[in-house]
Amino acid sequence: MISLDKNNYESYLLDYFEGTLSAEDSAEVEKFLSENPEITAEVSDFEIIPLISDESEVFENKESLKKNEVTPIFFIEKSEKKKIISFSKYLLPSIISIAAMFLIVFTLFFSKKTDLNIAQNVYSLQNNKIFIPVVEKKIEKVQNHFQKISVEKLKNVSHENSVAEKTQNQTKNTEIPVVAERKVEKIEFLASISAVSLENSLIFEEINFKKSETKNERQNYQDAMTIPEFLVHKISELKPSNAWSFTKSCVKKIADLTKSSLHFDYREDKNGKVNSYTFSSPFFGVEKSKN
Amino acid sequence: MNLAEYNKSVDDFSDGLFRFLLKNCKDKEKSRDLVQDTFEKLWLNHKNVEFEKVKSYLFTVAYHTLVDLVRREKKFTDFSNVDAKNYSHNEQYSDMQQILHQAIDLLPADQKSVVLLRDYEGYSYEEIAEITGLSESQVKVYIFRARTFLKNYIGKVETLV
Repeated sequence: MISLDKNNYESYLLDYFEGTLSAEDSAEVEKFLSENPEITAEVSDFEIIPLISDESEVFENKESLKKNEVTPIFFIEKSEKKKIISFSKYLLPSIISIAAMFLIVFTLFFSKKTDLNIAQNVYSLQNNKIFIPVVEKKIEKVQNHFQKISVEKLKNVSHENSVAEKTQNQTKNTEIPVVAERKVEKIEFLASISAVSLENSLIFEEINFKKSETKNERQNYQDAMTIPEFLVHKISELKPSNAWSFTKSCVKKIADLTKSSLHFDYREDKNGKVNSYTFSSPFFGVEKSKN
Repeated sequence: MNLAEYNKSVDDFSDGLFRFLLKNCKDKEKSRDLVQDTFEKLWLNHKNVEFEKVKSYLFTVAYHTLVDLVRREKKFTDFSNVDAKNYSHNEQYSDMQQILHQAIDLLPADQKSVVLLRDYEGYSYEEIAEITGLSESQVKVYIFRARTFLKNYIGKVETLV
Protein backbone atom coordinates (compact mmCIF):
# COMPACT_ATOMS: atom_id res chain seq x y z
CA MET A 1 0.00 0.00 0.00
CA ILE A 2 1.47 3.31 -1.05
CA SER A 3 1.50 6.44 0.98
CA LEU A 4 1.15 9.65 -0.97
CA ASP A 5 2.16 13.13 0.01
CA LYS A 6 3.00 16.32 -1.78
CA ASN A 7 6.62 15.31 -2.09
CA ASN A 8 6.18 11.97 -3.71
CA TYR A 9 2.93 12.09 -5.64
CA GLU A 10 4.43 12.70 -9.07
CA SER A 11 5.96 9.30 -9.62
CA TYR A 12 2.74 7.59 -8.51
CA LEU A 13 0.64 9.77 -10.75
CA LEU A 14 2.63 8.61 -13.74
CA ASP A 15 1.92 4.99 -12.82
CA TYR A 16 -1.67 5.91 -12.17
CA PHE A 17 -2.18 7.45 -15.59
CA GLU A 18 -0.38 4.58 -17.22
CA GLY A 19 -2.71 2.20 -15.40
CA THR A 20 0.04 0.18 -13.80
CA LEU A 21 -1.07 0.66 -10.20
CA SER A 22 -3.06 -1.95 -8.30
CA ALA A 23 -6.72 -1.19 -7.66
CA GLU A 24 -5.92 -0.45 -4.04
CA ASP A 25 -3.14 1.96 -4.91
CA SER A 26 -5.25 3.60 -7.59
CA ALA A 27 -7.91 4.25 -4.99
CA GLU A 28 -5.23 5.81 -2.82
CA VAL A 29 -4.18 8.14 -5.64
CA GLU A 30 -7.78 9.12 -6.35
CA LYS A 31 -8.27 9.86 -2.67
CA PHE A 32 -5.12 12.01 -2.69
CA LEU A 33 -6.32 13.89 -5.78
CA SER A 34 -9.71 14.57 -4.26
CA GLU A 35 -7.99 15.98 -1.18
CA ASN A 36 -5.72 18.18 -3.28
CA PRO A 37 -7.84 20.00 -5.86
CA GLU A 38 -4.94 22.21 -7.01
CA ILE A 39 -3.00 19.11 -8.05
CA THR A 40 -6.10 17.67 -9.69
CA ALA A 41 -6.40 20.87 -11.73
CA GLU A 42 -2.78 20.67 -12.70
CA VAL A 43 -3.04 17.14 -14.02
CA SER A 44 -6.65 17.11 -15.11
CA ASP A 45 -5.89 16.80 -18.81
CA PHE A 46 -2.78 14.72 -18.36
CA GLU A 47 -2.24 12.73 -21.46
CA ILE A 48 0.64 10.63 -22.66
CA ILE A 49 1.61 11.64 -26.14
CA PRO A 50 4.63 9.57 -27.04
CA LEU A 51 7.39 11.11 -29.09
CA ILE A 52 8.09 9.27 -32.29
CA SER A 53 11.66 9.28 -33.44
CA ASP A 54 12.51 10.52 -36.88
CA GLU A 55 13.65 7.35 -38.62
CA SER A 56 15.17 9.31 -41.46
CA GLU A 57 17.98 10.40 -39.17
CA VAL A 58 20.55 7.64 -39.39
CA PHE A 59 24.18 7.25 -38.55
CA GLU A 60 25.63 7.24 -41.99
CA ASN A 61 29.05 5.74 -41.85
CA LYS A 62 28.43 2.53 -39.94
CA GLU A 63 31.31 0.79 -41.64
CA SER A 64 33.70 3.21 -39.97
CA LEU A 65 32.60 1.89 -36.59
CA LYS A 66 32.99 -1.74 -37.46
CA LYS A 67 36.06 -3.73 -36.75
CA ASN A 68 37.79 -6.38 -38.78
CA GLU A 69 39.41 -9.47 -37.50
CA VAL A 70 42.70 -8.45 -35.96
CA THR A 71 45.68 -10.38 -37.14
CA PRO A 72 48.16 -9.51 -34.50
CA ILE A 73 51.78 -9.44 -35.36
CA PHE A 74 52.80 -9.12 -31.82
CA PHE A 75 51.35 -8.59 -28.42
CA ILE A 76 52.16 -6.38 -25.55
CA GLU A 77 51.96 -7.33 -21.98
CA LYS A 78 53.32 -5.73 -18.88
CA SER A 79 56.18 -7.52 -17.31
CA GLU A 80 58.05 -5.97 -14.44
CA LYS A 81 59.91 -2.96 -15.76
CA LYS A 82 59.98 -3.81 -19.41
CA LYS A 83 57.20 -4.38 -21.78
CA ILE A 84 57.34 -7.69 -23.48
CA ILE A 85 56.04 -8.08 -26.94
CA SER A 86 55.37 -11.53 -28.18
CA PHE A 87 54.81 -11.93 -31.83
CA SER A 88 53.05 -14.43 -33.99
CA LYS A 89 54.20 -15.68 -37.30
CA TYR A 90 51.69 -13.60 -39.22
CA LEU A 91 53.09 -10.98 -41.53
CA LEU A 92 56.58 -11.91 -40.64
CA PRO A 93 57.90 -10.19 -43.77
CA SER A 94 56.63 -6.87 -42.56
CA ILE A 95 58.24 -7.44 -39.19
CA ILE A 96 61.46 -8.21 -40.91
CA SER A 97 61.35 -5.08 -43.04
CA ILE A 98 60.65 -2.96 -40.02
CA ALA A 99 63.21 -4.86 -38.05
CA ALA A 100 65.72 -4.33 -40.82
CA MET A 101 65.12 -0.61 -40.68
CA PHE A 102 65.62 -0.51 -36.99
CA LEU A 103 68.65 -2.67 -37.37
CA ILE A 104 70.17 -0.20 -39.76
CA VAL A 105 69.28 2.74 -37.58
CA PHE A 106 71.04 1.22 -34.71
CA THR A 107 73.99 -0.05 -36.60
CA LEU A 108 74.39 3.44 -37.93
CA PHE A 109 73.72 5.33 -34.79
CA PHE A 110 75.82 3.20 -32.61
CA SER A 111 78.64 2.32 -34.92
CA LYS A 112 80.70 4.94 -33.19
CA LYS A 113 81.89 4.63 -29.66
CA THR A 114 79.30 5.84 -27.29
CA ASP A 115 78.67 5.58 -23.64
CA LEU A 116 74.95 5.32 -24.10
CA ASN A 117 73.54 2.18 -22.65
CA ILE A 118 71.05 1.76 -25.41
CA ALA A 119 73.86 1.59 -27.91
CA GLN A 120 74.99 -1.70 -26.54
CA ASN A 121 71.81 -3.42 -27.49
CA VAL A 122 71.73 -3.44 -31.23
CA TYR A 123 68.66 -5.07 -32.53
CA SER A 124 68.80 -8.62 -33.67
CA LEU A 125 66.08 -11.12 -34.31
CA GLN A 126 67.98 -13.82 -32.48
CA ASN A 127 68.00 -11.81 -29.32
CA ASN A 128 64.31 -11.08 -29.68
CA LYS A 129 64.70 -7.40 -29.25
CA ILE A 130 63.13 -4.55 -31.07
CA PHE A 131 63.47 -0.83 -30.63
CA ILE A 132 60.55 1.49 -30.52
CA PRO A 133 60.98 5.23 -30.66
CA VAL A 134 60.11 7.31 -27.66
CA VAL A 135 60.49 11.00 -27.15
CA GLU A 136 62.36 12.33 -24.22
CA LYS A 137 63.19 15.90 -23.62
CA LYS A 138 66.65 17.28 -23.93
CA ILE A 139 68.93 14.38 -23.67
CA GLU A 140 72.10 16.15 -24.61
CA LYS A 141 74.15 13.10 -25.32
CA VAL A 142 71.68 11.64 -27.69
CA GLN A 143 71.33 14.90 -29.50
CA ASN A 144 75.03 15.35 -30.01
CA HIS A 145 75.34 11.83 -31.13
CA PHE A 146 72.60 12.12 -33.69
CA GLN A 147 73.88 15.36 -35.08
CA LYS A 148 76.86 13.66 -36.55
CA ILE A 149 74.69 11.83 -39.02
CA SER A 150 73.51 13.95 -41.87
CA VAL A 151 71.27 13.01 -44.72
CA GLU A 152 73.90 13.91 -47.29
CA LYS A 153 76.54 11.75 -45.79
CA LEU A 154 74.22 8.84 -45.65
CA LYS A 155 73.31 9.14 -49.26
CA ASN A 156 76.86 9.34 -50.50
CA VAL A 157 78.30 6.37 -48.81
CA SER A 158 78.48 3.03 -50.51
CA HIS A 159 79.90 -0.28 -49.65
CA GLU A 160 79.35 -3.79 -50.76
CA ASN A 161 79.86 -5.69 -47.58
CA SER A 162 77.26 -6.28 -45.00
CA VAL A 163 76.12 -3.47 -42.80
CA ALA A 164 77.10 -5.07 -39.58
CA GLU A 165 80.58 -6.03 -40.67
CA LYS A 166 81.37 -2.70 -42.16
CA THR A 167 80.12 -0.61 -39.38
CA GLN A 168 82.17 -2.66 -37.00
CA ASN A 169 85.27 -2.06 -39.04
CA GLN A 170 84.58 1.61 -39.33
CA THR A 171 83.82 2.13 -35.72
CA LYS A 172 87.16 3.51 -34.72
CA ASN A 173 88.21 5.33 -37.83
CA THR A 174 85.45 7.43 -39.21
CA GLU A 175 82.54 9.51 -38.24
CA ILE A 176 80.64 8.54 -41.33
CA PRO A 177 78.67 5.37 -41.04
CA VAL A 178 79.19 3.07 -43.97
CA VAL A 179 76.39 1.06 -45.45
CA ALA A 180 75.76 -0.86 -48.61
CA GLU A 181 74.43 1.14 -51.51
CA ARG A 182 71.46 -1.12 -52.11
CA LYS A 183 70.08 0.04 -48.80
CA VAL A 184 69.69 3.59 -50.00
CA GLU A 185 65.95 3.67 -49.85
CA LYS A 186 65.98 2.56 -46.29
CA ILE A 187 68.68 4.97 -45.43
CA GLU A 188 66.60 7.86 -46.59
CA PHE A 189 63.89 6.76 -44.30
CA LEU A 190 66.35 6.52 -41.47
CA ALA A 191 67.60 9.95 -42.29
CA SER A 192 64.15 11.34 -41.83
CA ILE A 193 63.96 9.61 -38.51
CA SER A 194 67.22 11.11 -37.46
CA ALA A 195 66.10 14.55 -38.57
CA VAL A 196 63.07 14.28 -36.35
CA SER A 197 65.31 12.83 -33.73
CA LEU A 198 67.36 15.97 -33.59
CA GLU A 199 64.40 18.16 -32.92
CA ASN A 200 62.68 16.00 -30.42
CA SER A 201 65.63 14.20 -28.99
CA LEU A 202 64.10 11.03 -30.10
CA ILE A 203 65.64 7.98 -28.60
CA PHE A 204 64.71 4.40 -28.87
CA GLU A 205 63.29 2.36 -26.12
CA GLU A 206 64.31 -1.19 -26.01
CA ILE A 207 61.51 -3.65 -26.01
CA ASN A 208 61.84 -7.36 -25.78
CA PHE A 209 59.49 -9.64 -27.49
CA LYS A 210 58.99 -13.36 -27.57
CA LYS A 211 57.18 -15.71 -29.79
CA SER A 212 53.78 -16.74 -28.65
CA GLU A 213 53.65 -20.47 -28.88
CA THR A 214 49.97 -21.22 -28.99
CA LYS A 215 46.83 -19.69 -30.35
CA ASN A 216 45.44 -19.52 -26.84
CA GLU A 217 48.38 -17.59 -25.66
CA ARG A 218 47.86 -15.06 -28.41
CA GLN A 219 44.21 -14.70 -27.60
CA ASN A 220 44.98 -14.09 -23.99
CA TYR A 221 46.69 -10.83 -24.73
CA GLN A 222 44.27 -7.99 -24.40
CA ASP A 223 46.38 -5.49 -26.26
CA ALA A 224 47.07 -7.26 -29.48
CA MET A 225 48.54 -4.76 -31.92
CA THR A 226 50.46 -4.75 -35.09
CA ILE A 227 53.78 -2.97 -35.13
CA PRO A 228 52.46 0.11 -36.91
CA GLU A 229 49.54 0.17 -34.53
CA PHE A 230 51.95 0.02 -31.70
CA LEU A 231 53.95 2.87 -33.17
CA VAL A 232 50.87 4.99 -33.42
CA HIS A 233 49.72 3.99 -29.99
CA LYS A 234 53.07 4.75 -28.52
CA ILE A 235 53.63 8.03 -30.25
CA SER A 236 50.13 9.37 -29.90
CA GLU A 237 50.66 9.34 -26.17
CA LEU A 238 53.37 11.89 -26.65
CA LYS A 239 52.84 15.60 -26.86
CA PRO A 240 55.37 17.05 -29.30
CA SER A 241 53.76 17.75 -32.62
CA ASN A 242 56.77 16.44 -34.50
CA ALA A 243 56.03 13.03 -33.13
CA TRP A 244 52.90 13.18 -35.24
CA SER A 245 54.66 13.95 -38.47
CA PHE A 246 57.20 11.35 -37.54
CA THR A 247 54.47 8.78 -37.07
CA LYS A 248 52.95 9.76 -40.37
CA SER A 249 56.19 9.30 -42.27
CA CYS A 250 56.89 6.07 -40.39
CA VAL A 251 53.53 4.60 -41.26
CA LYS A 252 53.76 5.74 -44.86
CA LYS A 253 57.14 4.18 -45.27
CA ILE A 254 56.09 0.96 -43.62
CA ALA A 255 53.04 0.87 -45.87
CA ASP A 256 55.22 1.33 -48.95
CA LEU A 257 57.68 -1.28 -47.91
CA THR A 258 55.13 -3.87 -46.96
CA LYS A 259 52.71 -2.89 -49.73
CA SER A 260 49.90 -2.79 -47.21
CA SER A 261 47.07 -0.34 -46.92
CA LEU A 262 48.20 1.44 -43.81
CA HIS A 263 47.18 5.00 -43.44
CA PHE A 264 47.84 7.55 -40.79
CA ASP A 265 46.90 11.18 -40.75
CA TYR A 266 46.26 13.93 -38.27
CA ARG A 267 44.70 17.34 -38.19
CA GLU A 268 45.98 20.41 -36.47
CA ASP A 269 43.99 23.30 -35.16
CA LYS A 270 44.80 26.95 -35.72
CA ASN A 271 47.48 26.93 -33.07
CA GLY A 272 49.21 23.97 -34.61
CA LYS A 273 48.00 21.60 -31.92
CA VAL A 274 46.96 18.17 -33.06
CA ASN A 275 43.30 17.73 -32.28
CA SER A 276 42.51 14.50 -34.04
CA TYR A 277 44.12 11.63 -35.81
CA THR A 278 43.05 8.72 -37.94
CA PHE A 279 44.78 5.46 -38.38
CA SER A 280 43.68 2.55 -40.43
CA SER A 281 45.19 -0.73 -41.38
CA PRO A 282 43.80 -3.96 -42.82
CA PHE A 283 43.39 -5.11 -39.24
CA PHE A 284 42.42 -2.14 -37.22
CA GLY A 285 40.97 1.32 -37.52
CA VAL A 286 40.79 4.20 -35.16
CA GLU A 287 39.75 7.77 -35.45
CA LYS A 288 40.22 9.99 -32.48
CA SER A 289 39.34 13.52 -31.79
CA LYS A 290 40.60 15.22 -28.71
CA ASN A 291 37.59 17.45 -28.43
CA MET B 1 30.85 -10.25 -26.79
CA ASN B 2 32.79 -11.21 -29.86
CA LEU B 3 33.74 -9.31 -33.00
CA ALA B 4 30.66 -10.39 -34.96
CA GLU B 5 28.37 -9.36 -32.12
CA TYR B 6 30.16 -6.05 -31.84
CA ASN B 7 29.64 -5.39 -35.56
CA LYS B 8 26.01 -6.43 -35.25
CA SER B 9 25.51 -3.96 -32.45
CA VAL B 10 26.84 -1.25 -34.75
CA ASP B 11 24.13 -2.17 -37.25
CA ASP B 12 21.42 -2.49 -34.65
CA PHE B 13 22.03 0.43 -32.34
CA SER B 14 24.10 3.12 -34.01
CA ASP B 15 21.05 4.79 -35.55
CA GLY B 16 19.08 4.83 -32.32
CA LEU B 17 22.07 6.06 -30.40
CA PHE B 18 22.69 8.76 -32.98
CA ARG B 19 19.06 9.95 -32.85
CA PHE B 20 19.10 9.97 -29.07
CA LEU B 21 22.29 12.04 -28.99
CA LEU B 22 21.20 14.32 -31.80
CA LYS B 23 17.89 15.06 -30.12
CA ASN B 24 19.72 15.88 -26.92
CA CYS B 25 22.60 17.97 -28.16
CA LYS B 26 21.15 19.31 -31.43
CA ASP B 27 24.47 19.06 -33.21
CA LYS B 28 25.00 16.46 -35.91
CA GLU B 29 28.75 16.68 -35.93
CA LYS B 30 28.97 16.34 -32.18
CA SER B 31 26.46 13.50 -32.16
CA ARG B 32 28.49 11.63 -34.75
CA ASP B 33 31.62 12.08 -32.68
CA LEU B 34 29.82 10.89 -29.58
CA VAL B 35 28.52 7.79 -31.37
CA GLN B 36 32.05 7.09 -32.49
CA ASP B 37 33.48 7.59 -29.01
CA THR B 38 30.78 5.41 -27.50
CA PHE B 39 31.47 2.54 -29.86
CA GLU B 40 35.18 2.99 -29.35
CA LYS B 41 34.63 2.57 -25.63
CA LEU B 42 32.51 -0.47 -26.29
CA TRP B 43 35.22 -1.94 -28.47
CA LEU B 44 37.86 -1.43 -25.83
CA ASN B 45 35.60 -3.12 -23.36
CA HIS B 46 33.81 -5.57 -25.62
CA LYS B 47 35.20 -8.65 -23.93
CA ASN B 48 33.53 -7.65 -20.69
CA VAL B 49 30.16 -6.66 -22.13
CA GLU B 50 27.54 -9.30 -22.76
CA PHE B 51 25.78 -9.04 -26.07
CA GLU B 52 22.36 -9.04 -24.37
CA LYS B 53 23.33 -5.94 -22.43
CA VAL B 54 25.12 -4.07 -25.14
CA LYS B 55 22.30 -1.67 -25.94
CA SER B 56 21.97 -0.57 -22.38
CA TYR B 57 25.77 -0.31 -22.15
CA LEU B 58 25.86 1.96 -25.19
CA PHE B 59 23.12 4.23 -23.93
CA THR B 60 24.64 4.37 -20.47
CA VAL B 61 28.00 5.45 -21.86
CA ALA B 62 26.38 7.90 -24.27
CA TYR B 63 24.15 9.35 -21.58
CA HIS B 64 27.01 10.04 -19.21
CA THR B 65 29.16 11.52 -21.95
CA LEU B 66 26.24 13.71 -22.82
CA VAL B 67 25.72 14.83 -19.25
CA ASP B 68 29.39 15.79 -19.01
CA LEU B 69 29.15 17.63 -22.27
CA VAL B 70 26.04 19.52 -21.28
CA ARG B 71 27.55 20.42 -17.93
CA ARG B 72 30.69 21.65 -19.64
CA GLU B 73 28.71 23.78 -21.98
CA LYS B 74 26.44 24.90 -19.17
CA LYS B 75 23.37 24.18 -21.16
CA PHE B 76 21.41 23.22 -18.10
CA THR B 77 18.75 25.84 -17.80
CA ASP B 78 16.57 26.52 -14.87
CA PHE B 79 13.22 25.11 -15.80
CA SER B 80 11.35 27.97 -14.16
CA ASN B 81 13.11 30.43 -16.48
CA VAL B 82 11.70 28.80 -19.55
CA ASP B 83 8.83 30.75 -20.93
CA ALA B 84 6.98 28.85 -23.58
CA LYS B 85 5.68 32.11 -25.05
CA ASN B 86 9.15 33.02 -26.23
CA TYR B 87 9.26 29.92 -28.29
CA SER B 88 5.82 29.95 -29.76
CA HIS B 89 5.08 31.28 -33.20
CA ASN B 90 2.22 31.54 -35.59
CA GLU B 91 3.28 29.19 -38.32
CA GLN B 92 1.03 26.29 -39.07
CA TYR B 93 2.18 23.03 -37.64
CA SER B 94 2.03 20.06 -39.89
CA ASP B 95 1.38 17.69 -37.07
CA MET B 96 1.48 17.04 -33.38
CA GLN B 97 4.90 15.39 -33.51
CA GLN B 98 6.44 18.55 -34.86
CA ILE B 99 5.07 20.54 -31.98
CA LEU B 100 6.18 17.89 -29.53
CA HIS B 101 9.71 17.88 -30.88
CA GLN B 102 9.83 21.60 -30.66
CA ALA B 103 8.58 21.43 -27.10
CA ILE B 104 11.01 18.76 -26.01
CA ASP B 105 13.92 21.03 -26.81
CA LEU B 106 12.67 23.34 -24.11
CA LEU B 107 12.90 20.71 -21.42
CA PRO B 108 15.83 20.62 -19.04
CA ALA B 109 18.50 18.20 -20.24
CA ASP B 110 17.82 15.51 -17.64
CA GLN B 111 14.07 15.41 -18.32
CA LYS B 112 14.67 15.39 -22.03
CA SER B 113 17.04 12.43 -21.84
CA VAL B 114 14.72 10.24 -19.83
CA VAL B 115 11.72 10.98 -22.03
CA LEU B 116 13.76 10.15 -25.13
CA LEU B 117 14.98 6.93 -23.60
CA ARG B 118 11.40 6.06 -22.80
CA ASP B 119 9.75 7.04 -26.08
CA TYR B 120 12.51 6.55 -28.63
CA GLU B 121 14.01 3.42 -27.19
CA GLY B 122 11.14 2.02 -25.20
CA TYR B 123 13.12 1.44 -22.05
CA SER B 124 11.32 0.59 -18.83
CA TYR B 125 11.62 3.02 -15.91
CA GLU B 126 13.85 0.52 -14.19
CA GLU B 127 16.18 0.34 -17.18
CA ILE B 128 16.25 4.11 -17.51
CA ALA B 129 17.17 4.32 -13.85
CA GLU B 130 20.07 1.95 -14.49
CA ILE B 131 21.29 3.90 -17.50
CA THR B 132 21.08 7.31 -15.91
CA GLY B 133 22.04 6.34 -12.39
CA LEU B 134 18.90 8.02 -11.07
CA SER B 135 16.42 6.29 -8.79
CA GLU B 136 13.39 4.77 -10.42
CA SER B 137 11.05 7.18 -8.71
CA GLN B 138 13.24 10.10 -9.79
CA VAL B 139 12.95 8.88 -13.36
CA LYS B 140 9.18 8.74 -13.01
CA VAL B 141 9.09 12.23 -11.57
CA TYR B 142 11.14 13.58 -14.48
CA ILE B 143 8.96 11.85 -17.00
CA PHE B 144 5.80 12.98 -15.28
CA ARG B 145 6.99 16.59 -15.25
CA ALA B 146 8.14 16.39 -18.84
CA ARG B 147 4.80 14.96 -19.95
CA THR B 148 2.91 17.60 -18.05
CA PHE B 149 5.05 20.28 -19.67
CA LEU B 150 4.61 18.79 -23.15
CA LYS B 151 0.88 18.54 -22.67
CA ASN B 152 0.65 22.14 -21.47
CA TYR B 153 2.85 23.32 -24.30
CA ILE B 154 0.62 21.69 -26.84
CA GLY B 155 -2.38 23.25 -25.12
CA LYS B 156 -0.78 26.68 -25.46
CA VAL B 157 0.10 26.18 -29.08
CA GLU B 158 -3.40 24.99 -29.87
CA THR B 159 -4.82 28.07 -28.20
CA LEU B 160 -2.51 30.28 -30.24
CA VAL B 161 -3.34 28.52 -33.46
